Amino acid sequence: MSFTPPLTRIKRFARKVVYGPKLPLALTGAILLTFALTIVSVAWYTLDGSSKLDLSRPGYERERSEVRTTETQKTYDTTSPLNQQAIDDFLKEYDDRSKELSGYGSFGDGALDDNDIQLKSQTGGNSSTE
Amino acid sequence: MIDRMLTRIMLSFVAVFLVAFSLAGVAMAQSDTLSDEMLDTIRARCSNSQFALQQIEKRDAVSRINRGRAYDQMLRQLSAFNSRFAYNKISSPDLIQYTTELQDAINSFRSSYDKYDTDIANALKVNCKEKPSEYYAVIVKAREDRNTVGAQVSKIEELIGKYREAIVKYGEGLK
Repeated sequence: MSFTPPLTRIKRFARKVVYGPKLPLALTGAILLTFALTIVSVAWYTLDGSSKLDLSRPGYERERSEVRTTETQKTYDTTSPLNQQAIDDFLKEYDDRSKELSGYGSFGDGALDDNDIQLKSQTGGNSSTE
Repeated sequence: MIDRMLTRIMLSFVAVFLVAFSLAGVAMAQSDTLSDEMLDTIRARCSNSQFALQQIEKRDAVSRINRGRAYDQMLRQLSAFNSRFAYNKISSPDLIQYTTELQDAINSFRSSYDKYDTDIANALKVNCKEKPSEYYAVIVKAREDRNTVGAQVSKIEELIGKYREAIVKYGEGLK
């Protein structure tokens, strides 16, 4: 059995891969590409904050029903003359949307008070920094 | 060259230590101000508290999503109306200014919500039976960040009102 230098062995292997059957190479490439794309998409999903707002996860069934359904995107007229009627139409839709917004949580309700997160002492002796 | 590298490495170490000490300081300050009774309450109600926190997180996610979508729709409407002003050769710098401010406020709302949500996620990770003061410190931070989100919502509402007032004025001018 003769000794083959590592470089020659690598060259021989590379030649075998290049001139040999292409199917194993294609399969390996496809699997590696799939792994890479999966890693990128999961990282993207996690890092850009989408995961925090993804209510399709298990345990969010009730919340899913509370989410406003996405309307079909309305196309607005940008070239017609501006008259009182146009202003009135604009304000009608604007006010409807403002009213809709007032129905959503405003994050100003002190929802993290000790009482709300079950940390209120029975005797009421809370000497927290609040 | 080597001196510069060494200086950089030393400065990095100093920075890491400073950050670590300041974080530890915050945690200690929190534990200093919490009474033994409060610490006992946190330990005793750890699971209940974290469950309540989870419910708040879910409720807030719904508000965040609904608000985000409504804001996007509103911005599209405003941009289109600003374009209509421009097409009709009516100068409306105030409308453009309010729209830009609104866009910025909406972006801040989104980023501050992300921060707040990260706080809640961190609070849910803390073992509050073993580390009640650390848990409470994260809760305090979450409260502050939630207030920031609330402040952004108020700012957006204020800008929505200002834009409306401006439009009404333009309407009066058209009469």
